[in-house]
Amino acid sequence: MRARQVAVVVLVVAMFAVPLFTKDPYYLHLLISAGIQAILGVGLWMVLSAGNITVAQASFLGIGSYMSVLLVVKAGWPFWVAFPASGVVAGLFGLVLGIPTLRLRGVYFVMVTVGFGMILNIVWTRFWWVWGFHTGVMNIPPPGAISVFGLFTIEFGAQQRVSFYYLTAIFVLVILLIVYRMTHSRIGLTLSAIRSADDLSASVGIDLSRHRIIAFTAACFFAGATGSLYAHYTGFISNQVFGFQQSANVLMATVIGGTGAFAGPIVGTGFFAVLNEVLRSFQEYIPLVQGAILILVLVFMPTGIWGALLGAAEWWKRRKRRNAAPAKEAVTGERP
Amino acid sequence: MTGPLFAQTFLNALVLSATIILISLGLSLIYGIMHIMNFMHGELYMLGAFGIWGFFGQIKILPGIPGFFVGMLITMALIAILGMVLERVLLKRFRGDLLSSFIVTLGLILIMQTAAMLIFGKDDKGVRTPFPGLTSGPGFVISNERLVVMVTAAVLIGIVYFFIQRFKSGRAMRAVAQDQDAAQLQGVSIDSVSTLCMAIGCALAAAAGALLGPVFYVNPFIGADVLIKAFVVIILGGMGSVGGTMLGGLAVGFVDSFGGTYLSGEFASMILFGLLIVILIIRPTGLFGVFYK
Repeated sequence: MRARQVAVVVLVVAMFAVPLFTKDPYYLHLLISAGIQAILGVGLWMVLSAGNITVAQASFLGIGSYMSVLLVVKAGWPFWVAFPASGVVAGLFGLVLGIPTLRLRGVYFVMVTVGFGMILNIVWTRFWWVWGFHTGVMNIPPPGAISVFGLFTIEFGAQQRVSFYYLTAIFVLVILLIVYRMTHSRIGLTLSAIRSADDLSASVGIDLSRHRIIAFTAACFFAGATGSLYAHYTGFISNQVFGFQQSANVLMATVIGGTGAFAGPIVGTGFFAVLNEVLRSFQEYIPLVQGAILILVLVFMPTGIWGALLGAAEWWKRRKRRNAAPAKEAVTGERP
Repeated sequence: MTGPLFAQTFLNALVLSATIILISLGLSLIYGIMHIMNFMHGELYMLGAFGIWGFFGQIKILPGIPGFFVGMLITMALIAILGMVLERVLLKRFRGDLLSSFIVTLGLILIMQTAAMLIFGKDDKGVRTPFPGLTSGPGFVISNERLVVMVTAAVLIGIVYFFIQRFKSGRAMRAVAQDQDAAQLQGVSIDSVSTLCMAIGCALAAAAGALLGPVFYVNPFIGADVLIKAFVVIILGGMGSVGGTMLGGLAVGFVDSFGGTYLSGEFASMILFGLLIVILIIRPTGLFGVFYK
């Protein structure tokens, strides 16, 4: 697995080197947005691994955003405290919703999350006076400047997009590390056991509901913290961003990328980001192309883009081995 | 609670319920037999509304009331064919696969919505109703239009119910919904039952769209709201049961209508979704659900 480690290191270095090559705020914005989407996707992927489909990732992003606004703007907390706190609040919401409903299967749980998202949407629009403006909140302050050992200070204003980029990059890395650790721990192994055969897992004494609740709560926590980051990054939030369509987009990106490994949601998010960028001048045709690609991928690559790539790599390796084998036989003159 | 307002709301609830049941029945059949999440069902409703706009509002095949019903039948037939083609080409592969069918139908929503937007434009379109005037009784007034909607929906529901109960292919559908393997052993072809069920479901959604197109307005985005309500209905009622769907439809229609009149539309849907979550916590297979494995 040397190649894999090298690839990961190269990717991380590349991620941190991006601002050295371009400081174009537009591209940095695209990358930051993709990072935010990717976290939502990875959270969703964990829930999918435990055998549930949730269509409420954007709603939990909304809980985090509005919570952060409350804490920072109304209660005067610093962003750096409100950031994890919004995640915790979203996680608690997830826990309270998940405990009684996560034993529901398939479409029943989907509808619980859809209903929850609808209720939240109404809450955001009906109780707008709690947060500020009719259609959302404006003028959310950026995170306060932090000083590193008194040597220099990092500021986060609308002008300092590079520092936001690094903040997002570090956050994404931390989340990925947590998820990676989780998937390679007992919980992760159990989750993959649940996914491949849930009745069998239950029969050997695995507590299905507990693991589903852990996965769901973790996903909600990630989404909530991301919501806080999002709110203070863009400076304004509108109810439109936290609806069914956005949650469905996260689900689509995750499934397109592939649900087999946690690289899947990242690949899917990147794919959609690139697609939107390529089709930028044909704005109204984007959904048409997206829809067609969704269908084509599901028909021709049932394991998603990442799964197909892995499959291709495997096929290439096997072909090389097959080509190499007869040559060896000829040299030694022996039959294996 | 004054008498006339109550009677009025009661009638509105009945009209609403009838159309919601019409839509949900197809959704419930498709889930019960193919085990897929047909999220594009709302878009079929939208296409149905555009169908009546096209075949009755724009191209007048026959004038007046017969023209409306001819337009509706043409729309139903076209959408049924669309549904059969989609089932044969695409959805067939994803039978029983909840996640993939969900994503594929989301993709179809994107395609249908954008196509409708590019072809017909975004703005609301009205269809002039062929049933003008009002009918009044003791304590209520109802437009003839809504009365016709209710009666037609009830007739269509009755036909489908009769078909499922009495006809041989209807019996095959029930058999597949109960136990696929056993039905197959008896010589029932899942493929043809699925196609038939898709045709019926799509035609019903199109009929609902055609009936409600003149009552409300037509634009490419009317499907979403309808879809969510239909899902609430079949989950409340329990998947794959016709009786459950009817009771679920009545529940949704009445909560929506009375909540909308006495509270507000937003609170009505809040109550609806709250109710959905609470009922699922108490009864995980819906109010009248039969647990199909």
